[in-house]
Amino acid sequence: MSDNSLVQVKNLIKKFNDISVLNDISININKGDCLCIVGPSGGGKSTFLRCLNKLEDITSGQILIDGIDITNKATDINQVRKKIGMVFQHFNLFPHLTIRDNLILAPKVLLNENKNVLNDKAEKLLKRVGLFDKIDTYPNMLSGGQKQRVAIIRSLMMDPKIMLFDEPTSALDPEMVGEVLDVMKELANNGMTMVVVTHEMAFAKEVSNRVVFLDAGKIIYEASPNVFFSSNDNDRLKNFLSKVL
Amino acid sequence: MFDLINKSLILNSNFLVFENFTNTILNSLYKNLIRESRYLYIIDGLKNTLIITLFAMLIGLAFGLIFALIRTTYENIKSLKFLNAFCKLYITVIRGTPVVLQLMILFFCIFTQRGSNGLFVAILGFGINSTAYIAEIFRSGLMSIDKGQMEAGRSLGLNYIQTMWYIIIPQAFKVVLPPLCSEFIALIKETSVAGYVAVHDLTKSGEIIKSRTYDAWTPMLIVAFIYLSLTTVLSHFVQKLERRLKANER
Repeated sequence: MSDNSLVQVKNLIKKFNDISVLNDISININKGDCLCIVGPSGGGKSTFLRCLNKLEDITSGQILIDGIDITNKATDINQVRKKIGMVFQHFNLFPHLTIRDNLILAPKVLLNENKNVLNDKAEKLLKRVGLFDKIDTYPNMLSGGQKQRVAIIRSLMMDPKIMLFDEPTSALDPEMVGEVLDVMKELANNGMTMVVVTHEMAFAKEVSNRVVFLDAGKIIYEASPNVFFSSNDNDRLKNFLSKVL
Repeated sequence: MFDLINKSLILNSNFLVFENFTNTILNSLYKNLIRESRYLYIIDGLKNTLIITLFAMLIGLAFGLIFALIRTTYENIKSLKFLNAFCKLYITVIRGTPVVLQLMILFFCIFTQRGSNGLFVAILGFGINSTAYIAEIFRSGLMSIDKGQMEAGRSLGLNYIQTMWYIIIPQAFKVVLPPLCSEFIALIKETSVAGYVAVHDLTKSGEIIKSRTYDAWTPMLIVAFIYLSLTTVLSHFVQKLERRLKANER
């Protein structure tokens, strides 16, 4: 393994009551990778992503994040999660807090940083995604795309080393998908390590450097996007791509 | 009182009916409230009713929240198994038996020393009772918050308690506020059985006056009127509160 490796998954198996969802998955994710995971629904994509920050307990195998074994019971998962940002399909902003407090809450509680510093950081990030004027409103005043952009920078407030995206655009109206993907594209271009579960093939093609096809709990195929989308040597992948492209 | 009214209706000519009617009412009010300062019974009783309700509610809120947190923690992350079993048993027993009986067990079986303070026993009894009901109110409020909220908090690195404290409880509080107020209103009325354990509450004061004046109608109606005023004013505030909470939502 190289020094560059940020996430190492070895022989990951996940079962829900005897039903196998992830079946012996091994993969290495390097710093600066933008890894897109595609595949049919029910194939285990989201479950795989949720295993990476232990929102799901795994059945067997090993996951190392930045060298720390999160499958070890002695590991304080909360320390590891500070380094892992996660963006959900349904945004999960905190509806009782203003946008400012949504951003500041976790770093205020977890990082020893001055409130003014955090405030400046929040304002800077909001400006970056073009939502500075919403800083003192509540989440229910925002559109879906705006909510998701706020959710992304809420994770960025913790200065994560890696960002996980769980179908970030699937709950959005079509005209709002672009604004969210733009933010993600900028992130990837700035060198953020990202794992993205998505149905946006265009995004996978354009932004990612690796694409993984996950079906029936197994990694069926992995390649760079050029090769991936023009490949002909795997029937299941070919079948899938013919349906979504 | 109404006997007198009937008599006056029959005996007097129309011209005198109204005057006599008011006179009789004033008379019975005078007899039941003013003579021998009987209104003091009512004031004392009202004071005790309010004291019992208030302190029982405080006990219920404190322990109810703790019980609810234990129960939801068990349901969320399967820890606190034994505490959860205890809470479940407690809630089942308390909600499954009459509150009068619980009070009587406290008063006649547990606090049996002479000079046991009935007021204290009543506060404790109703506190124990409302803990069970309030625990369930809090629990349903906590469980009603979307699971994604917990996941969002945890994924940021907050631990379970921090996520509960900063994210789940504030949202649940808004949900449970109206049912908590209804519980308070219900408790005011429920405390009327405190007389069973020798507490002089509002209902009991009506009974005392009745035994002095041999007039049942007047004291009972006065007491009923006081309860009704309390509950109507309070439910009016609850309605206002609910409307304001709703207005904040969307």
